[in-house]
Amino acid sequence: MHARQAPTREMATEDLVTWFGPEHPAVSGLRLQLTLDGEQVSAAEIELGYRHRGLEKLAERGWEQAAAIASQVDPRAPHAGAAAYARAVEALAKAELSGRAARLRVAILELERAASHLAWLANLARLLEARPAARLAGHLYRRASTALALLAGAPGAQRWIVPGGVAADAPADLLRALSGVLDALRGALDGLRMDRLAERRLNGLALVDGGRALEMGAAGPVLRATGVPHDLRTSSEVYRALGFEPVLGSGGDARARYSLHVAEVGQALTLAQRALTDLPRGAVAEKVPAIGVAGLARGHAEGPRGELSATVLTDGGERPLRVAFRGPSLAHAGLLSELLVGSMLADVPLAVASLDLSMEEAER
Amino acid sequence: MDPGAALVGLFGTLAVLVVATWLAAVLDGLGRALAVHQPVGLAALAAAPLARLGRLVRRADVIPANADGGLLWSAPVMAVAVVLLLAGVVPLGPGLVIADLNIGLFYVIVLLAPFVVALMNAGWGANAKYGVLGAFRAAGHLLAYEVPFGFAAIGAPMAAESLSLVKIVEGQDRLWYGVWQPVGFAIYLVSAAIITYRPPFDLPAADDLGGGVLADVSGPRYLLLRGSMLALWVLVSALGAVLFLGGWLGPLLPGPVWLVLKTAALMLAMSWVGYRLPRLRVDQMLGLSWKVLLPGTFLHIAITGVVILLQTGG
Repeated sequence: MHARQAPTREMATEDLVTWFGPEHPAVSGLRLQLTLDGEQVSAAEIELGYRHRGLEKLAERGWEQAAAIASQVDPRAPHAGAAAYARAVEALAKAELSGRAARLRVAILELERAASHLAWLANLARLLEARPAARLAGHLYRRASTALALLAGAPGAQRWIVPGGVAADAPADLLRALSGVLDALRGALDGLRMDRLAERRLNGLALVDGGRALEMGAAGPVLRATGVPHDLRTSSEVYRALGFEPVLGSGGDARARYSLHVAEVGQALTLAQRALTDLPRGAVAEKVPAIGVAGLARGHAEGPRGELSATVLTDGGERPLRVAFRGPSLAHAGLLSELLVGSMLADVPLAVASLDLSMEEAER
Repeated sequence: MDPGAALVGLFGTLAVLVVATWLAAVLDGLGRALAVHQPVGLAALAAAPLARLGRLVRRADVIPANADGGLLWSAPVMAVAVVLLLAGVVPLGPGLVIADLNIGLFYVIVLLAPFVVALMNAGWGANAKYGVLGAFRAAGHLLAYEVPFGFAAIGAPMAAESLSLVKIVEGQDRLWYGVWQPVGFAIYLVSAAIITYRPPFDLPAADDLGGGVLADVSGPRYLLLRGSMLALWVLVSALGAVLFLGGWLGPLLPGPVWLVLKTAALMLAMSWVGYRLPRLRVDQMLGLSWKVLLPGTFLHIAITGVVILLQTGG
């Protein structure tokens, strides 16, 4: 495995088995069992079960319940979960979105992506001890979150994206104010660029091979950082009309993911701004009843961490027969047992954090 | 020396060290605030270490069930002893030194090693995995700084033709050694940062080990250990001012004031640069020490030797 010179008389050494998590600044809710040879990881096993909430079973209690739960699948991307679920119900009812609602949804999803990526950048920079970048990213994250809350209400109870459209329209003065915030955020992104030392530290760290990533079911920035052009937004007409092109990285390591996240924040802010300028007039929502239509439908949304999907099976009754959610985090966590082998212990928090895992979403 | 004078000397040194440690904590906070562009008031910076002191004094001293209490306690005792023994040889001004040893610099370099042992005891005595890993990092640290530190510092006694720190200062009355020995000065500062576990070289006590050697050190022991790490930082910086910036020499102001100013400037620079850099991994740090700093010191010694030869006309 590692070319190492064998000493003439091997000293008897013992591997050290230690734990990483389940609570750690790099990730919440994942426990790793690390076998250490000196400071080098020789085996890593993942242990799940710290964030399971039984959401899919709870969603079977009723349509209201399901809609509320959809936004809790990934607590750091409530709108993406709500969008995936709304699209599933809209597909069931064969409902069409108004132009205004579709654009508002783009704006909120992109703002959410920007906020989530900024939080990730702040955390990675902090673990890397790149303090100026960490402080800046944290500051920008708070501004983006505030903008998000202005549009969609207080975080924690996000029910803004609903089947049929969005729950509330955005007044014109709010849109103007938002546009200014987005400009300011985009202007500050230059300060997030990595310095040479940080670059060297992230270079080759947690390297994901594109083929292997596809095989494991990776998605989102983890997959795009390997150069695989997989992004759900490519197939969306609204996004195409706004001039969307997926951002791709090369290399598939933590450094590629870092630059990709910075680029995607800029792109998300641009898209949100384009989506909010010259909004078509019209209603933002129409009633889409879930009761009365039978069948199986699936909705998707490109969340900050990758593709989120919701599948709804119903016989047209008071409550869905089955609701299933799926995201990329479980696949990404699965990659860890391969990625960590051979890396130094000091790199483990960085490697784990670089995958931007949401264990809440992985275990539902 | 009669016992009364010795006691006064001891407590006087202790008092000076406590104030110096507080100043070090303030400079540490100031460098950090500057590095991350965080606006912060001087009063808040000055008060923060005192608040921290108050918390640590009141906090329970927890010795974990499987830990070796004696070994855990030996760490702060050793660390404080090293700091006290070192403080005696730093010349504050002409005649203002507790002991002007004729082996001054050699004495300093020898005494720096037990400080690492103190940290290793803290890590090893905790009998916990992350503490032990931190102790091993500290051991790897030891040689990596000791050699370049010694070779970088040797330029000053070469020029002064004495190991006595007082003679070294007196030898700089025309030109500071730091001016014509910039390589040695730079390497001295880097290895001084490594010795005193300044960021980005604080890997034995790193976050990725949950605090490493300090993970199981609490309350007063933490206070003593952390405090002596800061005090050591002051002493090594003061030594840098003595070796390369002419120590107490300077116009108008009294000698000790010059030394304090020079030391504070060095500390602020180390803190500011250190907090701008990400922590080095253990392999990166060893690579830096052996592949960059050590060859650099050879160059420094060669240049210094040639310059001295040319000056003396030999």
